[in-house]
Amino acid sequence: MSFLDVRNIDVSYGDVQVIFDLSLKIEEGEVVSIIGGNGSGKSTLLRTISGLMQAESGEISFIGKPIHKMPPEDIVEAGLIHVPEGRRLFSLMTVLDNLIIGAHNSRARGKAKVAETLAKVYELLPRLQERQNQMALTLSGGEQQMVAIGRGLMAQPKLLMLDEPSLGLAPILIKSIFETVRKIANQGTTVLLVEQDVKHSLSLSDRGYVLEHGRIALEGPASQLLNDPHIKTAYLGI
Amino acid sequence: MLYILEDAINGILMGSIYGLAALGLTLIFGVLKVINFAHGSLLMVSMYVAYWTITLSGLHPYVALVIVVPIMFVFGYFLQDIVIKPIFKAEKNVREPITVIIVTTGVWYILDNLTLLIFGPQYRTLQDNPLRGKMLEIGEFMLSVPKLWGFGAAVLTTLAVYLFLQKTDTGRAIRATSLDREAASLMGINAYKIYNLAFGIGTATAGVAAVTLVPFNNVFPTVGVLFDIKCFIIVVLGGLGSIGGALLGGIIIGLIESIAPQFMAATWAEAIVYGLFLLVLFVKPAGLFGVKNDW
Ligand SMILES: Nc1ncnc2c1ncn2[C@@H]1O[C@H](COP(=O)(O)OP(=O)(O)O)[C@@H](O)[C@H]1O
Ligand SMILES: [Mg+2]
Repeated sequence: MSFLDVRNIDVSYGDVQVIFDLSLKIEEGEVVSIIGGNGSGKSTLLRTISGLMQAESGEISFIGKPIHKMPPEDIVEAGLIHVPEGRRLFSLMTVLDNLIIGAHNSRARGKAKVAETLAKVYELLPRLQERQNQMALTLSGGEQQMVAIGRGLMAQPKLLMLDEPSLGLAPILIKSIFETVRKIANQGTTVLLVEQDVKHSLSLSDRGYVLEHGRIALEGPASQLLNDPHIKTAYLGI
Repeated sequence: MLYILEDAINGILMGSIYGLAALGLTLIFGVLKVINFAHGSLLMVSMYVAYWTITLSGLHPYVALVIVVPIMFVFGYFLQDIVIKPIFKAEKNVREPITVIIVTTGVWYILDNLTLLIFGPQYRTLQDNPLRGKMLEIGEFMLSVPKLWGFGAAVLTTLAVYLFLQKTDTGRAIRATSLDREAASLMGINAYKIYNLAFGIGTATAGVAAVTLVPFNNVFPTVGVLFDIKCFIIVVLGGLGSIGGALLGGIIIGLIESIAPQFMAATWAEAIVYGLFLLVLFVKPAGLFGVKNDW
């Protein structure tokens, strides 16, 4: 069985179905991208995996355990961490408090453990240390995204899901965010990256899925997808 | 002039107790995002618990805190867990579920009528209590001793709740939930457990307020109603969800109530309170001391 195994899920908002019979697999240590345009269902998929929404049918298992009936906090305990779209920081709390909250789950909790993880996060994202006493809402967009990622890392993820981390950032910041994601993967964390920035995300991934209208339209090794004629015309504008 | 100063000080003392009574309302709103219409009733229940604890045990009212506060914490915790939580779950996708407000109104009616049924309509006054009617004379000033104690309790309780929210892991989780419930659940925080805790703590602070009140305030089934509207005004003045704002809002109301009658009919003093309330709603809806989206 795969590390994360999504089997034939259907997801709806009320009467409107947005995910159709979708299946995907992620193996331990992989970096997998899910790419797709606006409204194709990427965020809905992640929200369903992390338990914020329930699939109407289908199953999801993580490290051999079914999780599709669990509340989000139990899924976090299992080690599956979702960094949501739009960062969703605790705006009136300091950067440090945001990071510490990330370590709320029982695997990450404890003074010594938190200090150790925090040191690692600061090493990866030194900017956060400079800003640690600032309120999250006073940060720039790029810094906020770093806090969101750092907060996710504080949870000691076994699988980190990132929903459009490059959204709304300047090109230079986008580059540094993707470099950070690469570093996280190199340190051994399995990563599921949802992106509209097809080129950057596929370049650092092992495999990719293309999501169109709530269905997997295409899947394969990232290098193969980057050269796929459909992707070239539809997503890369070549 | 001296009279006015004396009135002002007594107004601050009484106002701080109003603020203490309102603290739980603002805390519960800050976390659950619903106005708890049963808050006055929780204060009333707390006053009965305080009254009977002190009467039956013969303890000094403030020693009775160690019994009253845990009882009220447990009461609030399970009231939320058993009565209110199911409604939240049923309305999970609604941002500000109005049905929860209706349920708290139901709780208000049930608690008030149950108390009437059990204890009858009579007014109860704490007998043999060491604080009763005591005045402290400082130079020309006469200050009410039980209200001085109340002031101390109000400041300490507000400070304790503030520090708890700022400094502890649980406090941090409560703040996170109040700012973004969904994001908090992605951090592994169980929002319903946080709601239970916030309700428990909010009710426990009503327990502290009750202990400060019973030495000089009668206890009867509808006593909560007197405080209900006042608490609501205070919480809006201070900023919904603002911990320090409740204390300051209470002191403002206390000052208006004590000073204004020197210059006008008492009913006008009340009109000033409501006028200020409306003015704040129009001009600064986040409250005098609240940040927009305060913690
Ligand atoms: N809260 C919601 N209620 C109803 N429909 C929604 C909601 N959120 C998203 N949708 C719809 O679901 C579809 C997929 O949205 P989403 O998962 O956010 O896509 P993506 O993340 O790929 O942009 C879109 O058609 C969107 O309009
Ligand atoms: Mg999205």
